[in-house]
Amino acid sequence: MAGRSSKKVDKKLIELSIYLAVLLFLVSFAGAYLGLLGRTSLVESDVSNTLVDMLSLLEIGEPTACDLTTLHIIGDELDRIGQILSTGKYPEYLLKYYVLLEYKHYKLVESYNKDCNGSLTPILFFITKDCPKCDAMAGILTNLKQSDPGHIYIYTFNATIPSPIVHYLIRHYNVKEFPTIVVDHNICHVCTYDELRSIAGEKR
Amino acid sequence: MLRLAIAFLFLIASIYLLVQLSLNPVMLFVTIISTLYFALILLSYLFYEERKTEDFAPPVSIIVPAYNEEENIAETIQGLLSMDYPEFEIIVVDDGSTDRTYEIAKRFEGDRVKVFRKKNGGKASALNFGLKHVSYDFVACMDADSVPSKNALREIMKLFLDEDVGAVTPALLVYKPGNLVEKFQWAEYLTSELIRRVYDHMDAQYVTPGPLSVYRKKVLDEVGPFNENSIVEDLEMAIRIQHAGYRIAHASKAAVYTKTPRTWRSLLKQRLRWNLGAVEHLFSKHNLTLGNLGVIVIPFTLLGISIVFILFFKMLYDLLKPLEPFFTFLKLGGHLTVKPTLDTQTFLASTLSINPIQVISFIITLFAIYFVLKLAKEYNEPIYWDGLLLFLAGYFLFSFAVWSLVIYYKVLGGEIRFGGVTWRGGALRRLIRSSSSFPST
Repeated sequence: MAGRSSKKVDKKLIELSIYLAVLLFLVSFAGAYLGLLGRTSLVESDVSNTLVDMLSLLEIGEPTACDLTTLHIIGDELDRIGQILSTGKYPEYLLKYYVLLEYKHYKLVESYNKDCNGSLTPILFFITKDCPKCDAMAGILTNLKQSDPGHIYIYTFNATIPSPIVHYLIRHYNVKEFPTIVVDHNICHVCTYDELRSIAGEKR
Repeated sequence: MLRLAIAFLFLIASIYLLVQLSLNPVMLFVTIISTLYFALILLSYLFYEERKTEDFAPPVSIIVPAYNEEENIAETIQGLLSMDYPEFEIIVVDDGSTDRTYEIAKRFEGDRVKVFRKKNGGKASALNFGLKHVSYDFVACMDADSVPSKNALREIMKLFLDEDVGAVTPALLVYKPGNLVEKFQWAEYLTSELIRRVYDHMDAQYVTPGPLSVYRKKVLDEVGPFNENSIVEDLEMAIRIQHAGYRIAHASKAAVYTKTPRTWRSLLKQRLRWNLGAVEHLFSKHNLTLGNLGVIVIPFTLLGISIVFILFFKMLYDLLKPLEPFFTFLKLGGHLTVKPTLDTQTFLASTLSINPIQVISFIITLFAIYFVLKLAKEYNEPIYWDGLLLFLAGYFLFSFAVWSLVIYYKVLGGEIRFGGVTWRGGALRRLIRSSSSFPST
């Protein structure tokens, strides 16, 4: 009788739709993978260029007699990379490069102080993740740096970074708790601004 | 059932593949539902074909309910009178207009046009009034601000040769879109035409639209008159026709041009009415027995609504996330230090890769543009690129606004008047009203 048929579900349509959806997933997966390959090749080219730049910078970063130019060049590079790191999106090698440059800069400052009678104050700051006291000390050290930016240099080393330089420094200064601040072989963990100021002042 | 089970296994395997890319599970859900729905639409559209029918032109009674339509009624009646159709009558029912609608319509009264006036009671009451005065076995209901194409009725009536068909819907298009709001709706209506064809193929149409729909008189006698308490009498009638076992067919060659809201405020109010009505009449477990409508269309519509909210909050999250360092800065009392994190996988997944969600979204967007342009050409419509771009970019935001309003009104909202019908208010309000009406002891 017209108009009395019960409504049926079109199972064939559902089945074909599922297959089409699966096909779309596979096509999109393949498309995404091809896109990844394409962009990876661009990044690999970038990485090669960056590696050459790194080696070039390290080559010129040898101590020279009482010349602060190299120090400033490495300092600028540290600032540039620091901005990339602060975005939170970067490859792991960049982080290790940053650590390497920091250590290079620190060694240059030490050489400058020793060979050129310099009065720069390098401060090593060891931190780790999920460390509220580290955050608090970071604030104090930032204030200290701002009080005398031309002479005070703060080098932050995060213990979680898998870098040989970090491991070496942690072993060298026997860092067992965090934060640890090293100023000219004086070690403190939670220091006040005034304590740090007086240590930095003595150094000068 | 075995084939369906195999298909589901394939689906689960491909989802597993996507999960390996560590995609956000929420976006994975959105992608799966959108892709499945897109696949359903695409296949139904590909399977859709115009029913081959012969000419069939029995006499038709056309009811035109009108309320304060003095600007449109003349054009509507003239449009009807110029239709290429052998025999029909026009029954204009003025629903207590306060302007000159009745006087203007009366000028056309004659052999083919009858004009009545009644006390204001809403569109459904005007339609029911008109039903008492029809002379023929087929009844068309048409809004007073719509203009049919010359061949609309001829194309519609051909589909009634199938005895299973209880009602027929036409292709709805926007009448001379002027401003951006109307152009936005122009794109939307073309997309809706695609959906109507698809739902016709699935026998899942759930609305016989007000601008023009034609019914078999005996079906209306069987299912009863229009519901005068409903704010969406067209949707409510269509659901009843579906439950009665009849088919609602779609005549894609029959174009009807309708005047749409010209401001965002009036458009939002219209969509609030439509969707409040859908919630009341469509999303009911009673409708799950309606074949493809109950098992495919209604669940996907509900999932689609949830996707709108998910996408909105994801967009908000993506906008606010870059501000995170600022909040960290404030937390440290103004001392910003570099706090590097080690997450190579996140870096690879988010920075280097194009993820499958983006590829699928791109494919769906391309198809949406293709269909709109194709249908615009089919109906000889000019292309309104600004409307199309606004529709593609902003439809989900618009849907979010509409559905947020619907949820608000459904829960907390007070009574709203839509034309001659008052919507009763949100659940909480009604609860408060009913508890305050209890006599104190």
